[in-house]
Amino acid sequence: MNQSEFDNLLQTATERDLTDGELARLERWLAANPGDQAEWEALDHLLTTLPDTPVATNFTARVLDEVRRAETAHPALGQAWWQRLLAPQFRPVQIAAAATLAMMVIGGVGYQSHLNQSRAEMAAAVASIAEFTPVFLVDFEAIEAVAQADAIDEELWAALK
Amino acid sequence: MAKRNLDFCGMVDRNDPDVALMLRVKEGDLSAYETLVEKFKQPVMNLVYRLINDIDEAEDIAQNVFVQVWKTRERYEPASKFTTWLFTIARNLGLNEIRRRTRHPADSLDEPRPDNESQPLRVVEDASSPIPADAALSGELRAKVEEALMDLPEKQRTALLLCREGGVSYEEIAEVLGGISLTAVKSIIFRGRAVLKNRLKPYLKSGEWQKK
Repeated sequence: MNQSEFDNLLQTATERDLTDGELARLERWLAANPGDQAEWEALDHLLTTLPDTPVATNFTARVLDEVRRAETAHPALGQAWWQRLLAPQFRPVQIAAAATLAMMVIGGVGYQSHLNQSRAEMAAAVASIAEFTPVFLVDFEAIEAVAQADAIDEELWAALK
Repeated sequence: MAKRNLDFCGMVDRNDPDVALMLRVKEGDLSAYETLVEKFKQPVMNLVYRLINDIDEAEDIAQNVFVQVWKTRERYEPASKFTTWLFTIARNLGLNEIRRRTRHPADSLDEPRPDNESQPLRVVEDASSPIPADAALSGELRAKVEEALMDLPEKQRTALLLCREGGVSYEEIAEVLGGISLTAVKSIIFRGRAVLKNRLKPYLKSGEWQKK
């Protein structure tokens, strides 16, 4: 690459992104040409000597205040959602949730007790009926067999008649 | 030297003490957080101000950057360098402000300042950030460099500003700019430098300055 190509490449760089190959050629050129390299470094120097943007003296204090305020409004943002629900500001929600849970437990226990009672009553009723029914149940299996028998062969039935 | 200019903006410290501080912040350590804010308020302000060109708004955004660091501290992964994460947040908030102004142009109250003398009065004087006494630049040249820098496309400007801060590698710049390739970073930085050079050269030679 010569000086003119280098200048052209610089001009190209203002118009579009350079390719890998073009960047490599530029690197080689700068490494071999201290004059251009110095110009490049002078530009970097211009940037590095730009003054820092003024920062307010109370910058850090204001940031910390903001963080503390945020923490008070939404404490322990770093915690899991269920841990955050334990925070004092959710006290009404916590009470409502506890009351709901208690009612659900009481309801569940009551329903289970009701089911147990129904089963016991049903068992007692069946037992009381069973005392009177053994006679009626003697032919039960025969009757069941007839009920489940195959359909009648119509032709055979006609022949038997 | 060419290697420095084209491959790195500065040295990369792999044993980053900021990571250790940030891990403490992650655990809720407010004193570690304060140390980080103190350490990085200047580079964040530099970046945000030169992104949005409004000193008052820049300060609010820079503060918000650090508040976001606190609020999202649990998401910080030590695999990323702290500054990469910090500058990414700063750039994103800066871009949000630029977008907001594009949608509501009337909200942009401050015009770009032509030179350092016209800074808004609201800025509290800060002994830690005076104009460097050893700066070789005259006020006028500095203003021209600032103006040329402000006129660069956002990515070129951000990349050059991150280079300016030092200690920011091309890999980090690639991450801050949204995970672009190293070649793209090199090209963006080179383009930015080439545009600045083209803009400033006539001024440095003959004092001729072309408004963009």
